[in-house]
Amino acid sequence: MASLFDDLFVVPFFAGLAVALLLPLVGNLLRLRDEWLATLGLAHLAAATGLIGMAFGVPPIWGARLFPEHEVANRLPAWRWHLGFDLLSALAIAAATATVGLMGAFALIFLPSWLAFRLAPDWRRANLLAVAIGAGGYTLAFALALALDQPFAPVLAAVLIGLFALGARGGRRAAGADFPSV
Amino acid sequence: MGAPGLMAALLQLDGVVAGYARPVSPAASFALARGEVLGLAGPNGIGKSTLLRAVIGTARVFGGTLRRAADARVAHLPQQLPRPAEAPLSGRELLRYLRAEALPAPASLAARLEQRIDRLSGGEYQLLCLWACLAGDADLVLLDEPTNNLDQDHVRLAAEEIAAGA
Repeated sequence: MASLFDDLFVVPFFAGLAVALLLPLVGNLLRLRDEWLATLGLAHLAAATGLIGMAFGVPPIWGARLFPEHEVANRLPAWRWHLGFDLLSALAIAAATATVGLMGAFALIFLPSWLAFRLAPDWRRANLLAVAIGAGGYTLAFALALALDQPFAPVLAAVLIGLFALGARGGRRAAGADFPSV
Repeated sequence: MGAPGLMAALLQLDGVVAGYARPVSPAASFALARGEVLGLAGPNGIGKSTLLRAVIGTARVFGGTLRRAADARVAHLPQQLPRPAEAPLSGRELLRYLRAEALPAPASLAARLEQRIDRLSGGEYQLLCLWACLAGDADLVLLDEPTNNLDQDHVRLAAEEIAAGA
């Protein structure tokens, strides 16, 4: 564990941690737009005001999801924020791929948001939960990969899958019959 | 605003025929000023929803003239509400994001506002979206079959709120 604090690993750790904090949020927004599968190809990154708006507590992406004709009805230039989010997603995934690898980036986009969508009681806590799973899983995987001398990305994917399995099972137990069939 | 008695229309239709690939609705003419409530009645398939969709710009106008106040904000409750199978969004958040929090929600709705929208019944979700349209900042509210899925008490409540919203 001492190597975790070695200068050689400190910078990569914090660079990856920044990615682990951001990607689950991007994953939530992509999932909200039913576009998380697009992250597999990296070519269909359609999905920045959503994220920017979220920072201000007003995600227009929810309005667009639930009332898809609202922008047309009000003659709003929706292309600006659609394009903005496309660009933000592409940049985030490109940066993440260069930092934690494609497998790690995909795991950080897909798994935390999947669990957060199942368990969170509202959107604010869905974002907090996704970030907690992403950052927690990343930190655990980093320590495990160093301790076990294993490649990082597969360990990260394994840790996140493990967290997902635990969370999904716990969620079903806690919610019982009231849990939605999704 | 114009002089008393000459209130500018938010919406004015003169002989509007709406449709998609071909005309669907018969010609319709009416004007709607701020504070007015207007109901469209007619048999199924006559094109009432199509006419509303022409107003919001998602259906084509084949004839007549359709004028909408340029600065009018529009809320549209469609006949069939898209509802994600999985949506970690509470009813209260939905109202906040749609800027519909200024007015207190009816008691039966207020009691369910902390629930995720994907765990509401069809009627509860319809009532939530109807309230979001009525309590928001829209100048022109277009409601297509607003009482879908509502029980008798809530149909009565919806009618009262629509009248009060005017």
